[in-house]
Formats: sequence, structure tokens, C-alpha cells
Amino acid sequence: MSTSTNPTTAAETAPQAVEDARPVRGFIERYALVGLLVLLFGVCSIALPEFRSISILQVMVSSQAVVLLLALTATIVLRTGYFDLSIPAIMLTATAIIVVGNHHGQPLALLILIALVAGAAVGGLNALLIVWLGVDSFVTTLGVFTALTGLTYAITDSKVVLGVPDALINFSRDREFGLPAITYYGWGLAIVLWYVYQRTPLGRYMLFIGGSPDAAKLSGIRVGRICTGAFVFSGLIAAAVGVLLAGNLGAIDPSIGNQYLLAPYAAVFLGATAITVGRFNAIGTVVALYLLVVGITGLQIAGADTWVNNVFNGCALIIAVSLAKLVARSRARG
Amino acid sequence: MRSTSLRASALVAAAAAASLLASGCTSATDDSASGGSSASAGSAHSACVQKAQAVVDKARAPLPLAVPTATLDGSKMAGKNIWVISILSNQWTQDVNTGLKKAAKDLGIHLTIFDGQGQVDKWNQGIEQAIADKADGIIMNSIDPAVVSQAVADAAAAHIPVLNAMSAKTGAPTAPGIYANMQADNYTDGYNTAAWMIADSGCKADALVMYASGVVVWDAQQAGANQAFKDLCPTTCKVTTKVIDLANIATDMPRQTQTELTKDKNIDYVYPVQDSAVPFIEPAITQINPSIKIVSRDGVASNLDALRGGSSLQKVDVSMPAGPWFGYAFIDDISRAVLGMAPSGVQVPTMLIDKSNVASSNANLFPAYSDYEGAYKKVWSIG
Repeated sequence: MSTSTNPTTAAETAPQAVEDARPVRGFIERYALVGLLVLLFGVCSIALPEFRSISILQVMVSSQAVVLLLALTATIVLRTGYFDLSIPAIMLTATAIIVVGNHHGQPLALLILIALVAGAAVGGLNALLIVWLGVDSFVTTLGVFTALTGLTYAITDSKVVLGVPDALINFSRDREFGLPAITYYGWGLAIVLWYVYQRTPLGRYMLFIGGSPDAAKLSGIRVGRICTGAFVFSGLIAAAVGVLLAGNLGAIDPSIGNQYLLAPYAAVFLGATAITVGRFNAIGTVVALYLLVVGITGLQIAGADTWVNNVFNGCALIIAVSLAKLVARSRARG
Repeated sequence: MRSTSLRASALVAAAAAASLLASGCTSATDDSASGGSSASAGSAHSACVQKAQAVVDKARAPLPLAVPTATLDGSKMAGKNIWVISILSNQWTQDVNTGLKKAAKDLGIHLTIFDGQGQVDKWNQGIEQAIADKADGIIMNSIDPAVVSQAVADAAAAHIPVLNAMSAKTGAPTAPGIYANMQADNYTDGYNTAAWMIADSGCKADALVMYASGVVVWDAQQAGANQAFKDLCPTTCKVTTKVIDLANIATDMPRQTQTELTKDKNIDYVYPVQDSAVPFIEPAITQINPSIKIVSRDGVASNLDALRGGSSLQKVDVSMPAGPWFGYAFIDDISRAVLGMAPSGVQVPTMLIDKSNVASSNANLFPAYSDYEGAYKKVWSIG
């Protein structure tokens, strides 16, 4: 196994997540983003009457379900020190398999199986090229993203295709307490990943590998095997998200893959500045995504122009990462 | 560390619980979607409804075949080198390309189709390649001349005529270096669509119009829709217009739609101005209020199928003739340019489609167009 272009991990841009001798300061660092989310929500609720409703809360949470699922999926490979930019394209390819296959009368169970196997296979290909042949992960997965995007056009014949079995639509859209099922799947994945990252040896091994693969190898950790597993699992989960997207949209539009590329990563990197500061983590990602959506929704309700949303997203990410860097420097100075 | 994580999860759980105070379970495929807002009852005979209905009836009329009246000598086009710079590859452009290839074959034209892949640099590259290939004429399909102005100027300097197809406001003067504009009347399409909402609601429509600014044809549509509300239903209807981020339509538009529907719970029509946006907003709308009706434009086959089936929230579409007809129309106009003739003046016709005139299949929507190829061959004196 060879090392690759490390993502700008917490290890570089944010303070190390070591137990701090100054608990108050550590607490502030861990929960600053959560506090900002609460503060922002409070300000919006006070300033904007329309914001004070359960329905707007439901809108904010449910509208980001797919982005949340992708963001959480992205943390899997990022934690091992690699990028996996192919996940939005894996998702969309899986969606295309489901919708187009259904259009041709294939049984849903078979299509789901094909989609999941295809996703895992693409993850395996990524692992082969990156983990075992040592090709740069950023470049490789960007190439896979591009190739799969083209493949999606081929599967759909460059058309928007409608039609998904009701069973899958209901599986994705059925509501409990006003929220579609896909939202709960996102929260479920967050809890599973939180448990794996924080409570299992595998989660710690992944973090160790992400910080220093050579040291991890010397420590006896099966680096290649774990990283391969991360890519395969990432591909599998991305394909599962594609299945859910098919149910959520009831259609496939082959042109939308790149729209799911940046938003999940913005949430992941912002999330690395919260909860377990300096690490890509599941709960931090959830908090970061909801911080962004609260801000943007508040701006929209306040009547801001569309361009303000992009400025808010970009600035929030830059400010958060910059603050984390300042904290890291402060710590280094003692 | 353990306590930190537990506290974090507790916080998230608390946030989740707060957001779960709600309204019980419903099925996503519940047929309540068809229950609907509407109603023409009550004020169905008001002057307002009658005026709007008159606009709708006219817009729903079957399309006459659009072909030029002035003939041309098609034999003179044999061996000519024509380039098509297509904005990107999608279902519609592929259908257009099918017609372009057939028309070029009929006239013996050497045709090159360049896929612009949705990128400005590719569009410029395509035009410059056409110039280098000593093209006799260039067709720009759906590309705004303003973003390729230098390349178009280069073509003009090389005395190569350029047809601006499907990227101009109706009646707008041609940009420098452009031979002619060929365009549908998107402003009127927006006007007619708004008239349908007004008539369908009994002059009580509360409409949300969503469009991406900077796209000439969508800007025209929203302007037309807003004008219709001013003209036909100035006091009892309401229209809200929102600009969307085209680059993030899949991720941003559902949230923005839901936000607007939450702000104004009386909205009963959503007009996203393009069929491609419907799959993204339909689940979002269903979650908030499945009785809302979607009205749109473009006549994408899958949208028309869904409208015909009745299960979709989309109740109206505005459709142009099938894509291959455009191929013949574009080739006709560029041929006139190459032969030194005046532009055909053909405007792309459109028809408002709802359940009353959606026909049994997309192939049967425009009966007058069953032999448009033969009609063009007659115009070209080769039939």
C-alpha cells in the first residue's frame, strides 16, 4: 500500500482531538458549532415569524436527506486518509439502474441487487487503483466520477426517465411524524457510523491509518485490508443511497450528478470542526449540515437573493476551518 | 471521550425529538393528490374566468404545420459544409440531431455536430473549429450569442453565417454576426400557462413561479406569467416569483420550494418553467401539500406520459413539435443564409396541453406534423 494525497484532514487544519487538560476550553471547541446552530436557529426564530413553525423545521431536516446520506458516506474513506469523489456518481448510476430497469419491466429486488453489487464493485475498483497500485485518490475517484456520469447518460439514453414501483417510493417517502423515511435512514446511518468510529477498534484503526498509514502498518494494523474495505463499503452505501434517491424522486435525470459533489463535502469538512474536533465524524457532519441549512433557509425566508446562499455556504466553511486552525495554533503555543 | 460522544448523541436526539412534533403517518402514493385545489365552481362564469379561459382555449388549439412559404433550390446545398454547435447532449438535442441528420442527408449536406457539453469554452471551441474547417454555415442550438461573441465575430469575419436557434427573446433584434433568430414565443407560453392557472382556480390562484435568471427563455416565461396575472386577475390572484440556482437545482430547488410553500400555505400552483425540474420539486410538494398543481413547459416525453397517466401533480405542459422537426427547420434557415436569401421567419409553434388534449400518446399530439419531412422537401424543391 502506498500513501496518497491526504485530504485536508483535521490533522492538518484543526486541533488534534486529544483529551485537553483544560476541559472548559475543550468543551467550547467541541460544541462551538452546536452552539452556533442553536444561536442561529434562535436568531432566525426571533427575527422571522415564518421560522417559528414545526413545518419549517420539517422542511429543513427533510430537504437535506440525500445530502446528509452522501456526506456521511464520504466520511468513511476520508477517515482513512483518502478521498472518494466517486460516491455521487455511484449513487446516480444506481438510481439509473433502478429506474431504467424498472422501465424495462425487471423485478425491483433484482435491480436493487444489481445496483448494490455495482456500487461495491466500483468501490473495489477504486481500492485496487488507490490502495494497491498507489494512484492518487483525488485524481482516481474524480476520473471514476466522470466515467460513471457518462455511463449514467448511456444507461438512460440521455433522457429523464420516470417510473419507480410504489413499494420503493413508499420505502423512501412514507412519513412518520411529518418526516419522510429517507430522513430517518440518514439519522440511522449517522448513529451507526458514530458507533463504529467512536466505539469500535475498527473506527480507531481507520483514524490511525488516516493520520499516519506507515505508523499504522508498523503497529500491525492491516492497512490495505481496512482501506479496501472502506472503499467497498463506501461504494455499497453510495449505491444504497441511489436506491433511496430513486424512490424519493421517482425518476432519474442523468445531468444532476455534479450537483451532489460539493454540498456533502462542505458538510463533512465543516463537521470536522465539531464534536470530535479535528476528525471527520458522523455527528459533527450532521450538525454542520443542519447549521448550513438553517442559515440558508433563514436567508431565503428573509427574502435574500439566491446568490447569498452560495456566499453563506462558502463563508461558513472558510470561517469554521480558519477558526479551527487558529485554535490549533493556540494549542501548539500552549 | 465516551461522555463527550454520549452528550453529542443526546443533543442530536433532542434536536430530532423537537422536529418530530407532528402530524402522523401518510402514504407517499396516497391518492389524495388528485383531490385537488381547484375549482372553477362558484366564479366559473365570471368575466375573469371567461377571459382567462379564452386565452387557454386558444393556446390549446391544435398546432398547424409550420413550414416556410418561400421555396428555395435545395439542389444548391449539395456538398455544403454545415456545422451544428449543440449546447449539450440531452434527450431534446438528440432528437433535434436526428432531424438535422435526416434533413442534411436529403439535401446532400456534409454535416458536423459538435457537442458543447454545457461548457462555454467548448461552444467557443466548436465555432472556431467550424471556421477552421471552412464551414459554409453554423447553427448554434440553444447557445446565447453573448457568451460566444468573439467566436461569432470571427465567423462573421470569415463570412460564415450563424443561425441562433432557440436562444433569443421573440422579436429581439439579432446579435452582431447572427444571420437570424429562430425561437418559440416563451413569453406567450408563460402568459398562457398563467391563464390556465387563473381559469382553473376560478380566478383565485396563488401561484409560485420559480426560474433561473440569466436564461433568456425562462426570463421571458416568468415575465409572461406575471403579466397574465396583472392583465387577467389583478385583484383576487397572487403570484410569487423566486429565482433559483440553476447549478444546484437538484439540491436547492426542493428546499426552496418547501420554504416558499411553508411561508405561504395558500399556494396552490407551482410553475418551475421547465419540465426537467418537476421530478425534483414533486416529492417536496407532496410532503407539504399534495393538492398543489404543477404547471410547466417543454413537453418532455416522460412529463407528458405522467400528465396523461394522471398520477403526477403536473397538470399542464406546453410543448413544441417533436425534436426532429427542429432539425428540418434549422437546416432550412441556414440553407437560406448560405444561398443569400432572407430568413424563413418561421417561429417555433407551441401548444398548451392539459388532460383535455394530451392525446392517447405523444406520437399523436401533433397530427399536422405527421409528414413535415415531405412538406420541407416540397419547399426545397426536392420532394
